This record gives sequence, structure tokens and C-alpha cells, in this order.
Amino acid sequence: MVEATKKKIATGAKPLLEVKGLRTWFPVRRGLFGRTVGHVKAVDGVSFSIRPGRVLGLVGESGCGKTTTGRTVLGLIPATAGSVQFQDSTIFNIEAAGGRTMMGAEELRRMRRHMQIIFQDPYGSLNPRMTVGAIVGEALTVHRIASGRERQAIVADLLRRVGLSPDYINRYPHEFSGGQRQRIGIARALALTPKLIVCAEPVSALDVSIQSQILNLLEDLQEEFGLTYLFIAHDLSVVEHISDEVAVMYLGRIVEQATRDRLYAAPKHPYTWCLLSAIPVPDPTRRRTMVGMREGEPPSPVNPPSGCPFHPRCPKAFDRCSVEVPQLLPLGDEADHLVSCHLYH
Amino acid sequence: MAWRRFRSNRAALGGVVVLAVVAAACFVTAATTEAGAGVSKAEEAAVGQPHPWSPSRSHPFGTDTNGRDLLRRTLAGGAISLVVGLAAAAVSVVIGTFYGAIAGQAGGATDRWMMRVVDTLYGLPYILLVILLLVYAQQKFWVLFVAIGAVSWLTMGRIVRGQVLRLRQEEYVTAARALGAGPGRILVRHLLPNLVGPIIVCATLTVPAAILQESFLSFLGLGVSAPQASWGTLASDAVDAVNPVVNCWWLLFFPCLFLGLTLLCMNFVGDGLRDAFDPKTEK
Repeated sequence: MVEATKKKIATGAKPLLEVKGLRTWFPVRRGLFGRTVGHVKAVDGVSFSIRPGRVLGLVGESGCGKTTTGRTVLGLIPATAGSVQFQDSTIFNIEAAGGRTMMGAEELRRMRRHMQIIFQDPYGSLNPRMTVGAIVGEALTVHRIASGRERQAIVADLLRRVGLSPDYINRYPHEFSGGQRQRIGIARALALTPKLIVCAEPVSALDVSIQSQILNLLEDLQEEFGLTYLFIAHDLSVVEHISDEVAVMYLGRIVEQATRDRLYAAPKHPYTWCLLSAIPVPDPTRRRTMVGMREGEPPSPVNPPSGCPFHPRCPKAFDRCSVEVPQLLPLGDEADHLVSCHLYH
Repeated sequence: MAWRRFRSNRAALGGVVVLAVVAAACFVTAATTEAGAGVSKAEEAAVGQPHPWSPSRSHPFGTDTNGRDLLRRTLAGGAISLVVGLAAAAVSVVIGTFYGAIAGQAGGATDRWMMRVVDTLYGLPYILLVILLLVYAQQKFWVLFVAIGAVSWLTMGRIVRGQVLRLRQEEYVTAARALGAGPGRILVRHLLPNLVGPIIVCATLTVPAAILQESFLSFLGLGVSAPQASWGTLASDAVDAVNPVVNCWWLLFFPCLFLGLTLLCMNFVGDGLRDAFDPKTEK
């Protein structure tokens, strides 16, 4: 039943969120006068769209720009270029030629009702001086949705929905475990009944046993409220269950994007092979076929390598890879399987 | 909530009681005694020895070199010291906190300019500032407050700004922005409550600094003028009077005892307040 409604929403619907050519560069300043000597190209030309009720998993290793992507989409970090379209409104559109349209501060504030974020660190993301009730209910006050008893009732209901006792309303964050704190963070994001939630590595900081609980909770809530997720993680195994589509990021760019089933069954990009082979297999009799990534750290986003950014670590690299930058293109006749690799184009 | 936590802290509660007693005694004495009054001629004749007298039953703190009862002078002087100390702390909390918080929250060029103003005031020779003020002011006492107030909030401003810059990076502040909270709300609801600890510590350190500054200004003739006294002037007068030949220890001991006792109590109260505002200290 839920599956059926999900499908109905998804097919033919306009994208809820559409990101085009997103770039977020941070200036590197040196010297007495703070001269800009370069840029950290944290996000360098990322495009994707998510249809209502769907989940896009965004995966990559630390420092690849996936979290920055999530925050830039919500307007929490200023973008350098690109556009973000949410439903029928343009959050921002910064053209390379210099034209820019930005949503006004007040309009953006109202827009925030519809798009929320869940953070990675359940310790840093809750104000230690506020009670659980104040944290979860803050958005209701900010947007003048409810106050007093009414607000208390909504907060109690939200706590119940995320699996916490409403009695916790007057407690402080330090009295809770990591998993419980993450539930409080989820309740806070749900308070405004948003359409889109950016889950910025919501389980990375949690114990493995708690991870599955939180993932199940997020999945239940998604079905219950028909939420749309941009689900960011550094581990392909985390997003496998929850995502409809998965995008793999490397050094500020998407290198492969496909439906969940295709990506896990027939990964194409060598980097995706490496990530998939890094997932532990809970079966001692099955030998893992490790795809060996070549030695080395991920390159610096200040000076990305020439050509394909992955070529210095790629097990399949050949001459062309260090010269020409590959484009993210559909794979043959598979229109919804995009890959950015010279092996295929 | 905070009050309940404060009440359960014995040291802090004791500090409040002692402070209240000292302050009450100081203000009552200051209001009821004439500043320069010495002991009566009859008493002088009865004792028949030159001042200063060492502590006795009729003068528990002894008398000073001019024949004035030291207990009365210590208490009356305490009134001035306490007012100066608390006024400086109040100025630094109010102006320093808001100045620093606004600079830190605004960031960018606003922050740079606001902090350059603080740097300039810091760098300005303090005495020059006081003398400049003195040119304009008729009443010296007023200059004392303005001069001490003008410098006491600078350190607080810097500390608060630094803390705001640090706290602004916290994820819960990003979360508040994502909820749609404006900069004012973030400042009042998220930043300031987390600044209570450093602000209280800094304010408790401002009180003794201001009391000492007052004695320095009085020494230059810019603050309290004789026959009025403060703990700072009493102590600095005593240092001149105490020498290897005449050992008038009480002249130094009692003002310093009161000063020390007050500061100790303020530290206990400050600690108690800091803990009272921190939900983590709940048992």
C-alpha cells in the first residue's frame, strides 16, 4: 500500500529539488592582506534532482564535498555558482556569466519550513543549555505556528513519533545517549512537517547497533509522512536499504549515479567498485574480492589532479585519464545510469 | 531551576550572606559617620599616647596616624570600594557582553572596525584618558566611575567576541539557522546562554581590578580625596606608615582583610552562579 502510493507520487511528478551545476568554493587566504591564493573546490559542478517521496543517497569518502553539497542546497553555506530549485521557487541561481538571483532573506526563512536538516554529530547539534522541549519546539515559535500548551502538545507528539517518552520534555541533552540525541535531532527536523530533509550523515557518529535503529526510524518516518530525503553517507552499505537512487561523489563531483538496484548490481566506475568492496561481508566463508585502490590519500581539492580527479588512485587508469576530464554521461542506452569515466565513453 | 541549583551550593550561599553583611555594615557606617572625625579630646587625654593606637577594646581595629578610628574608616571606605567594583563589573557585563556579541555575530567588516575601536582604547594611555576627562569634569568622583568604566569592559568585549566566534561554528547554531531563526534570536537564545560561564568569571575578575584601579587613581588625587577613604587608599596609606621602626600592622591588615574577604566571597558566588546556570551540574 505504502509502496503503491510512493510509486504514484514518484512517476511523472516534477522534481521536488533540482540542483544544477552547483559549485561551492572556499577561498584560501594567505599573507598580511589576506590575498586569495586559491580555492578549495569542495563542490565543483554537481547536478541532481529528487522527485517527491524519493530518497537520493549521496555517498563518498571524507572531504569529497557531500556534506557541503547538502548545506549549500539549504542555503546554509553561500554557493559560488549553480542553481537550486525547490518546487516552483528558485532558492538561488548564480550564473557563470555573473547574473544572480537569490531568494530574499525573509522568503528563505519562510522556505525553511519545507526543507530541514538532520546533522551528523548528535552531541554538537543540540544546544546544551536548552531543554528537549525548547529544542524541538523552537521552530514552532520561530514560525509562529504554536505556543504555550499547544506547542507542548505538538512537541510531546513529535517525541512519541521518534520513539522517545514525552516525559523527557524538560530534560537536557546531556542526559541522553547518542542514539536518543539523534532522535531529538530528528524530532526537531520534523517539527515543521517539511517536504525535504537533508540527512547529513545521520548515523555516522553512532554505534553500529544504534545505526540500524535510526535508519529504520528514518525509513518509517519517510513512508509515514511521504518525505523526500537527500541522504548523505560515507558508506554505501548505509544507503543501500533506504535509497531509491544513489550518487557517488569524488572530490567535489558526482562520478556515478544510478538507481539503487543497478548501482549495487552493476557498478561501473572504478571508484564505486572500491567503495563497494570496502563494505564488510558478514560471512567468513565468502572470500571478499577486494578491488585494490592504489596507494595514497585522496588528492587535495585545492589542486585537483589533471584529467580525471580519480586517476592517481584508479586501478584501471590509462593514458587518457590524466589528460582529459571525463564527463558525467548516460551509459549507452541506460538513460538513468550516469557515469563519468573514460572506460565507457 | 537555576535558583534551586544555586541554593544547594553552600559556599556560594555563604558568600552571599557574608557579602550582604559586609555591604550592609559598610553602607550604614558610611551614611552615619562624618568622614574626617577623629576620637574625642577627652579620650586622647585619657590614653595619653600619640596615634596610631594599636587595637584595643574601645577601638577594635586601632586608630590611624591622624587619630581616626580605623574600624569606622574601613567600613566607610568599603562602601566606596564596593560601589566602584560592582559598577565596573556591571559596566563590563552590560557593555562588554553586547559589544563583543554584536561584533562576533556580525562578523566581517563590522567586526573588524568594532574590534579596532577596542584595540585603540586598550592602547590609549590610561592616565591620559583620565586627565582628559578631568578637564571636562567638575566633580572628581564622577570621573572615577567613567574612567574605570571606560576600560573595564574592553577585556570582556574581547572575551565575548572570541567565544561568539567559536560558538557560531557549533552545529546547534547551524541547526537554528536551518530552522529559520534570525541573528537576534540566535544571539539571545543560543549564544548568550552558552556564554554565561566566561562572562561570570570575567566579571568576578573585574571587581578586584577596579578596586585596585580606584586606589591608584586616588593616589594620583583623581579619585577619592582625603578625608574620605576606600580600601585601596587605606592600604596604600598604611604601606607608607608601616616601617621597621613603628610596626603599625593593623593599618594594613584590616583593610586588606576586608578586601580579601570580599573578593573570596565574590569568587564563591561567581562559581555558584556559573554552576547554577549550567544544566550539567544537576545531581
